[in-house]
Amino acid sequence: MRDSAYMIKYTLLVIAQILILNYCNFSQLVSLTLLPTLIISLPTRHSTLFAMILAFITGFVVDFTAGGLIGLNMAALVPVAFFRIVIVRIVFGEELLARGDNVSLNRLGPVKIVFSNILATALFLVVYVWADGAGTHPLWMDFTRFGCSLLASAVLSFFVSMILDPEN
Amino acid sequence: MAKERSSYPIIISAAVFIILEIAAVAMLSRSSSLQDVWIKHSTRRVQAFLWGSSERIRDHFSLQKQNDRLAEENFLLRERLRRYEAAEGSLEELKDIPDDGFRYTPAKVVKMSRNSAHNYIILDKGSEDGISPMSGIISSTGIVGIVDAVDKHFSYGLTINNSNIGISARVKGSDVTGPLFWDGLTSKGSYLKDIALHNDVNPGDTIMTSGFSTIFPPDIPIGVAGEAKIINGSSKNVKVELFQDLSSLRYVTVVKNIRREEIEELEASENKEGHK
Repeated sequence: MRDSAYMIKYTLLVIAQILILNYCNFSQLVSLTLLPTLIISLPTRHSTLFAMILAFITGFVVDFTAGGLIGLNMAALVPVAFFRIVIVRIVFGEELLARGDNVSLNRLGPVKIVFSNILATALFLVVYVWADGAGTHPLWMDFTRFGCSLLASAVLSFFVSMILDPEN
Repeated sequence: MAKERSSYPIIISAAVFIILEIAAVAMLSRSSSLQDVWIKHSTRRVQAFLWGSSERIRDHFSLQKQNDRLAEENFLLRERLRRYEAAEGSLEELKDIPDDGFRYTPAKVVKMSRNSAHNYIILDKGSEDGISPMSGIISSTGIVGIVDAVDKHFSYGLTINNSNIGISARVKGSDVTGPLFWDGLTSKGSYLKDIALHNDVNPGDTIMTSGFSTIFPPDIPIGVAGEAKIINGSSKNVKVELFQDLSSLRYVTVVKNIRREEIEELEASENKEGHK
């Protein structure tokens, strides 16, 4: 029951991401992304394998419907899923994994949640900005895009974490 | 035992991660030509690095052999120098040779493909050694190819056995010129194309670089002419047997035209003026 509620929220947020990519292009230097937060907030009882396959399918759906480069979100999101457990272990500790608890904003506090979102989004954006630029942009531009996108996405991700909180 | 069992999920996850990333990168490569070129160049750089590393390890174990060969070469060069010095004034004459605008860098072949329609060569010299794309690759026997991309320590080139490259060639002792392309069949077969019907090219004529491109200096031997074949009644293609046998190639020289950018800028500005 809990899982189905989570998957409904997940699907709605993927649709929100598609709408953002299609209609909210504020600047070339800002890429708003919710996807890393969706993956990092997956209940910890799900395996890395499940997270990677979900990330791959999600990335494909977003790439296909957003009309961008097919493969870009996929290539950037799969590493987030691969390192999800490492990030959870670093930020929330081994105990959360041992108990198989969910990543909850109410229980774990905003500081840790924001920190885990930033780590996941940074990992996503490193691959995303690098592959999207394909070596044609100057380094300062890639850095600026990375910084601006990380800042904007981190703010948005906090609200995503609130929505995904299983205790809400 | 428990440790061994717990490492399986990590190995499986890592394998699935690699497979999914390769699939994503392959899709990315197909969806945009810019990303396609970038991914191919990155792959070539990695290939060059890997092959270069294996070559360095192999070199390390054959140092004694190389030392012997260098000592022998050193001896022969000293002998030649002694003979030059003995010939009165010959060194003074050498100083008067004018600069031809090309810089020559010796390089070693790290890897070369010979069995496809788009054969390539990887050399152990890169941008740090002054190599840049669109430099020629030659050997003591003839033309080898053209540098396509460079990394810090390695260069990637297309060999003359690649259907994508054409070389501006000339028949020795005449003004007959035309582009030379690989025939795609044998390693030494090629065609000198688009020769006007009134121009005579006889079997046995030597074919050389024309010097009309910015890649190769003039008069580098390429091969020997064979039979001519008339194409559509308007021009003829001449079969050329290349001098260079790529199968035995180990050392090459990279030829860089130091005035290439200047010439290309001039061409570009002339084209602009022409459009006005």
